[in-house]
Amino acid sequence: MKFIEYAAHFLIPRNSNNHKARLLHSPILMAIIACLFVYQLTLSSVSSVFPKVLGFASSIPMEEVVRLTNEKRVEAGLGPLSFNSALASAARDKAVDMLEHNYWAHVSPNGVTPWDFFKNNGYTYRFAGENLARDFSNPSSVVDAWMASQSHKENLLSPKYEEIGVAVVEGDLAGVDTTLVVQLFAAPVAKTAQAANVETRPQPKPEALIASVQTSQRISGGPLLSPLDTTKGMSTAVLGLLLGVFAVDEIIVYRRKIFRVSGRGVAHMSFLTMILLVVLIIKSGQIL
Amino acid sequence: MKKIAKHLPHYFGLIGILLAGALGFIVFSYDRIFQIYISVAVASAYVIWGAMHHSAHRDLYLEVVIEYVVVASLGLMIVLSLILRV
Repeated sequence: MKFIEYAAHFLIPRNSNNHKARLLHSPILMAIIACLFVYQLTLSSVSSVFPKVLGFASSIPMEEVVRLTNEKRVEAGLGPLSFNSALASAARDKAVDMLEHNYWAHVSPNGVTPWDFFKNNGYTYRFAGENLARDFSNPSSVVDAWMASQSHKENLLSPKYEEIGVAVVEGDLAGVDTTLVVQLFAAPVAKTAQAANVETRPQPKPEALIASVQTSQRISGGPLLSPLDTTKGMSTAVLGLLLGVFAVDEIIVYRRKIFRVSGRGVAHMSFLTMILLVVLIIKSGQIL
Repeated sequence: MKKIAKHLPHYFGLIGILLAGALGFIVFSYDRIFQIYISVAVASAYVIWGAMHHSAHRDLYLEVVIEYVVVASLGLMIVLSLILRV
């Protein structure tokens, strides 16, 4: 009985809560904000201490990115790109460089451009392009994200390119467990000249760095829970509860014709519905 | 309900702000920085809308402004926690 009274005090406008559900009072809402903040801090701590329980899981086979890219090109009436190992190596070097120097950009803070990685891998190009992606969980979402961006789509569907190289590298970027996808496009100057370049300029691999990153997919033994999905679940639950309480509050106040100094419940519900919509549409992953 | 009917243009303005924000999130799905700007802009616009609406209705009190700020902060907290998580 006491519990029902307490729940009613929190959820329904009545005398005991000054005719406004206690949950909707500003101090309680501030307490909810504080709880959500603590929840986020806890989530970050748990995911860094127990990455197998709460962490970022991705499965992005390099070959699948190439296949999906070629599928999009064929759909657009273009020829498929042929896989080039020197480009794949350049892509991998670029990803490793981003992890080593903690940056997420086409040009490194030291001024190293994507084209430097082409040269270092003995690839001489007529035309070249680079697409970057991070934190996606599967190859189709990566390619779909690139296709949704005009500049990335132009790279993907450019008739100037003939070859492709892709690297998927996992590592720690600015303290965050990240999966980087680097996609390089190019048209070589000439096959024979390129082959000669590869022979004359062999590149040493940074062995120490290779040990610190994992290439390609991490399919088996992934974490049990994703921090993003957990955050989405918690946010949806909080918003659902508040929307429900606001709706009940508005109906009761309207029916009982209660006058009170308060914000507009309809406005709050509209705002929180928009937030709920954002929670539902927000996707993981970034492209550059 | 009469209050809503009386201030319908106000609510159209609010719906416009919120729809623009939601649309911005869809269009700039992969631009995290821009999404942060959109979130802050919509939350600020919501507080300003609330203040203007209550001022027009002659029931603008500090308590009401605080309520709008708190609701806007709650929304901002939820959205930012997702943007910075992905």
